[in-house]
Amino acid sequence: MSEPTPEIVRDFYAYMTAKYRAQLVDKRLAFEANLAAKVLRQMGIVDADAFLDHFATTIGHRIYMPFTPGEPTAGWSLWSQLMVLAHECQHIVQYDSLGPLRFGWQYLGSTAGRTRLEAEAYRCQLELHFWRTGKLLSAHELAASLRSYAVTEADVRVAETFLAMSAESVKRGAIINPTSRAAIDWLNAHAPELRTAKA
Amino acid sequence: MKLCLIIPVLFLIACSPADPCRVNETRCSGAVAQVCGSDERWTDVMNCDEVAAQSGGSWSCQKIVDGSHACLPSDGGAR
Repeated sequence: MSEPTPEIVRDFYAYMTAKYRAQLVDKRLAFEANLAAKVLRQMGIVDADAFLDHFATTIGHRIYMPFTPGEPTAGWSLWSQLMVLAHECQHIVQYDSLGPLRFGWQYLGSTAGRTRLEAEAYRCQLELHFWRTGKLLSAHELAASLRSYAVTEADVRVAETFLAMSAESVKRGAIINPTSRAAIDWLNAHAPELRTAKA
Repeated sequence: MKLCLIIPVLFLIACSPADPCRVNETRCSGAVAQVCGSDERWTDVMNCDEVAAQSGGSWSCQKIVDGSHACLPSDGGAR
């Protein structure tokens, strides 16, 4: 399977950040990312070290990345760098749609709200992986990722149902998230060789 | 005295979900596929009209084999 080149990743980042008016911040260097890590740890949402090393994070229109786009690392392949940007841009769409107060309230105020917002964003991975391979990621395994966000087991089951319902539509050709649509349109135009699935 | 009765009733109305559901239950609400969240409130999974706008063709919310619900092509075929 063809891997994205660093140039493709950088061009994709330039396109998506312009489209969603996102500002990329290197999480490892940002003072506010360290502060956010402490706040999230205090709230019991995400472990601070895991937050800084293993998670991209979006606050408003600022996306904190734990890697440099286009430079593969042990935990972040170039393809996963593409997928995670679509995921984070979906949080920007949610933020703009709900407004900062409602988004903050839903995300921080209840595990059910946080589950819905994250499950929707994880749908980007489902949709982009399907575009590339013609295969569905496991809803069970994707939903299990939510355990890192301090949600309940009931929330994880709801996320699995959310993603399994989405998968039924995706495998019939649906593209549900607008950021997946934008990403797939760009990839079709600029990197169709990444796709092994038949169009 | 009346006020003492009215205030708790209003409080209960304000705090109870308008349309409670069983956690993980799914349904179609018009064109929207929904799942019941852990807070026992319906949450939207996808709006089939928006799926149609983005994916092309005609999509509607339908029951699927596992008993849950999703947006499927209205003509039944894959796209």
